[in-house]
Amino acid sequence: MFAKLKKKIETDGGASPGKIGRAESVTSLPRAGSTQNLGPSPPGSVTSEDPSIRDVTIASEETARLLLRKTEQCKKLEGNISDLAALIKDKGKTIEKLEAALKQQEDVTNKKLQEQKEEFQKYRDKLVEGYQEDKLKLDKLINTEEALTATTKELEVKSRQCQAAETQVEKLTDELGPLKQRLASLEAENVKLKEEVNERSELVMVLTKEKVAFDKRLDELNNEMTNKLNQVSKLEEQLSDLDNEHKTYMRNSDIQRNKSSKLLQEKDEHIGTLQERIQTLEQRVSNSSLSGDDRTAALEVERTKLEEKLEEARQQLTEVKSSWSDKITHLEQQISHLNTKIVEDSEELVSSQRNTEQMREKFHKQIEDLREKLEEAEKRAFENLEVSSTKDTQYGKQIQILEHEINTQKLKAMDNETQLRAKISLLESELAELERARQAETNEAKVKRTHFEEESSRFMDKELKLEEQIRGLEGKISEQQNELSKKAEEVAGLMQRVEELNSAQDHISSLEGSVAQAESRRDEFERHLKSSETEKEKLLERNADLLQQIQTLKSNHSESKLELQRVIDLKTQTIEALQKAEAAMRQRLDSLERQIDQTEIVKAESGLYSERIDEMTATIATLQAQLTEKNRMLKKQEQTLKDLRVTLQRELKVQALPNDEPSEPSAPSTHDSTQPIGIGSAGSRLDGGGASPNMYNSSSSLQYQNHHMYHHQHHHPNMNQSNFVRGSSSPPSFPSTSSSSSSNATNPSAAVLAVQSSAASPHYGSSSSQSSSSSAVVSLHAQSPSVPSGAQDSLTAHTSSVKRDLDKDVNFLYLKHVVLKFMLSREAEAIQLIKAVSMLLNFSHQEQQLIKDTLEWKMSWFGHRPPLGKGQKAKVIPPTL
Amino acid sequence: MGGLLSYFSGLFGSKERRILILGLDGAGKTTILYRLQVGEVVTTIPTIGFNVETVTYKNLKFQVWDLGGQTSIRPYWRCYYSNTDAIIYVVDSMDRDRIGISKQELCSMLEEDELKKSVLVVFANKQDIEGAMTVTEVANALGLPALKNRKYQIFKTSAIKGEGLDEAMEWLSNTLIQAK
Repeated sequence: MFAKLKKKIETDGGASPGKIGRAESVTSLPRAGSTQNLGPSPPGSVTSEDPSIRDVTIASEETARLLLRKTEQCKKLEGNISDLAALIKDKGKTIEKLEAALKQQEDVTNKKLQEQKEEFQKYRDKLVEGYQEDKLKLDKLINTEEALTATTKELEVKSRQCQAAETQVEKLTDELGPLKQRLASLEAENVKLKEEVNERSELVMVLTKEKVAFDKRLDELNNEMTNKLNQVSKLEEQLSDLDNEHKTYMRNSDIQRNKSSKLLQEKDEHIGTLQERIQTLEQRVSNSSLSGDDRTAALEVERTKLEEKLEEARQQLTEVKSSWSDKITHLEQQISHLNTKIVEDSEELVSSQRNTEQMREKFHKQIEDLREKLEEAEKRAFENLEVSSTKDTQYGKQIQILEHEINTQKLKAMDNETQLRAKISLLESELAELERARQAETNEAKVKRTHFEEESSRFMDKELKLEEQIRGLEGKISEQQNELSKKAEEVAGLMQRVEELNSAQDHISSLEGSVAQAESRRDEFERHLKSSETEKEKLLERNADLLQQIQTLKSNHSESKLELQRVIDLKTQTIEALQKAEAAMRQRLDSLERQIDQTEIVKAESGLYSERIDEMTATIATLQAQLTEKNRMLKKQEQTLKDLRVTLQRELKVQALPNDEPSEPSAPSTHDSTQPIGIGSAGSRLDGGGASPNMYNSSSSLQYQNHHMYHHQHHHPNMNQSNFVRGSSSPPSFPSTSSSSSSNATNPSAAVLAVQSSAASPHYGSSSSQSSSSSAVVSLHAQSPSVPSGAQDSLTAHTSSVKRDLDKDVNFLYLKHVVLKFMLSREAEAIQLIKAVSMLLNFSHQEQQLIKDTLEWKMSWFGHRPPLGKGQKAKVIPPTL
Repeated sequence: MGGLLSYFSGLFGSKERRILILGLDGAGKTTILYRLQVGEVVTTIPTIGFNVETVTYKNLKFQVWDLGGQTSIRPYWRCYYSNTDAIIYVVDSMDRDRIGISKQELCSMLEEDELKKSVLVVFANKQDIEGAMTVTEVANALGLPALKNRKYQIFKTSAIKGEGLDEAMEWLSNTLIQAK
């Protein structure tokens, strides 16, 4: 869009400079064309073709005209005439080239020209239309531009947002970078861990296989073990069998041995018997060889022996029989025994079987009984359980009841607490009443105090009266001074008269004759003069005394404040003395007048006295000058005194403020309550007399004579400095002190009166001190109507202590903390603290809302600032930019 | 710029839950706050004012306000009640004398309209000391069983040893997620 626009603007703009060039080229071209047309015509002129040439020339002229028209048209046409000029150039060239075939070319050119004209017209129309369209487009473009500018603004805003968002996104991407790295590292770790896991799983597989193998082997080994154990057991059995066999064999061998031993014994016995038979048989053999008788004897011996043997055998047999019978009987006895035993045992068995059966039955019965008992016990247990559950429920109920009771008792306790609190509140109210009573007492005390103040004011009034008396005296002094001045005038008149007397000296010369008489009188006058001179000397001495006194006063001023009062008193004395001196002067003046009268008489008699009179007038003048000087000195000294007092009281102010301790509200003194105002009024008394605690101590006796105030305060020796300042005010300060005491009762008019009175006393008021005093009183005047005396008292007295206490106060620390955080935190956070701040600072609801609106306005990008007032009520510092 | 930041933080981060830590002075509120935030026991001084910290627990952001509990600044608690999601009420389990005061403060606090929807978590703190009141004792002393229309839970905690705080925060975050 813009590019097109620019192009168009360039073409439009470039048209104007291009116009000239084109116009020039166009203007030059016809000439060239004409010269070209004219130029070649004479050489190229063929006789036979003259008319044609003329026609050609005419046609060329026509073309030139046409060209001119075209140039005009071209001039009219703004735009692409350069193309036309180029075409015209081409045409000129073609005309130059095609002079011979101009006719055809004319037609062609005409046609072409017409065509071109049409084209131009079309082009122009097009251009015009295009121009209009462009205009429309321009308008549109302008509109679109405005829209675009608006959109660009919006886009800028959005771009800002986008930038902020991008920064955030960048931050986040920055944060994302390490996170991605961490992710990558974590993934790598994950892969590693997976590999490890795979390895470990493989390991686990291998190990499981091994384990299986080991298990199998274990089973095999167990089987082997069992087999071997079986074998061992078999072997052991075989061993036991073998042992048994061995034992049987041993027994058999024993049995065999016994048998063999028995057989051997039997064989031995058989052998013994057989040997005996052999012996017998041998004897038979031996006996057979013997004779008959011998035979018979031997046979008989044999027979006896055999009989003996037989008998022995029989004996043996009987013995065996008897032993056997014994044994048999024994055995029989045993058998019988055993039989009896068997019978007994069988009987016992039967009985025992019976017993066992009985026992079984009994046991069965017992078991049944026990079962029954068990069932019963179970039943009982169930019952017990039921009972216990019921009891549990009961107990639970009881517990609930107890809890209820506990709750009720708690409630009662709460009630008691509330009652106790009520009592406490009652007690507090009583306390408050007591406090009220105390306040009432304090009020009474205040009333008393006011009473005392009134008394003090009365004293003040008395002081005022005294002052007025003093003023009257001062007025008298002034009157006397006036009289003195009058007398001086009279003296001047006298001087005139003396001049008259001088003029009368001529007469005196004429009256010399009467001088002798007058001389005697002159002697008398001389005596009078001497006496007056002595009086004058006395006056001079008095003057000297006065000077000394003044000097002492000066020294006292420089020495200390203590002597200032004394100096003042001395001055009063000096004033009195001066008054006396004035009286004396008046007397002397009277005497002088008398003398003058006498001299007049004398002058009437003689002009000789004129010199004396001149001297006397001169002395009078000098005396008067001295008097005026002394008065000036007195004023100066008083001024210096005032200055000293100003400085002193400033110092006192400076010292008194930091040392100013909070006053005791229960102090009975009436002046304690007025103490801060006393300090305030100290400034108003600057024009007045000097005051200092030291002076008060030293000049107490003098003060006592002068002031009732002092007497009043003398009974309170423990009063602090400010009281002394207030109490030790000197006579000139009376009006102001009275104003200070009266301003205790918040009477601004009295304070103004104090200004007036201080201004009305011209003796003591220098201009600067008066201005300072008036300003001090004005400040009093500004304070006194708004703040009651008690509040002002607490204000001045407690500010220092309050400042000290503030640092310890938790509420103040809390306020400080919250306000600090409120100020340091951003708007979004600070909004949460509005409530706390407004509660701490007692903001109204409107102010709270105002802060909230302002903070929201600061947080948002749009919107209006909430109304914050204008002028004096404005709550915002106006912007400095 | 602050507005912009808060705007974007509102877009990206989840909304912060506002939690108040209340209780009598010396109960251990500040210690609990910094134990929750830093995970360490810090030395504290009596809070005259308040401490605010952002504590993140399980993707939940808590804006935790620890308000000073001295008697004279307790009335200022009410300035912070609005928009509070949860209250952590800390009780000194060793302090049998002032448990009644603690109960009164709790009751008066729970009567506030601004706190009607907020969750209550009671910390029976200082359980590491021998002779401390048990959880049930503390609960009864505070009158918790009588509470109605209030999601509450009591935990025995020791801020010094860090015991019980995790369970409490777990419960609190779960309750707040459910409540949302």
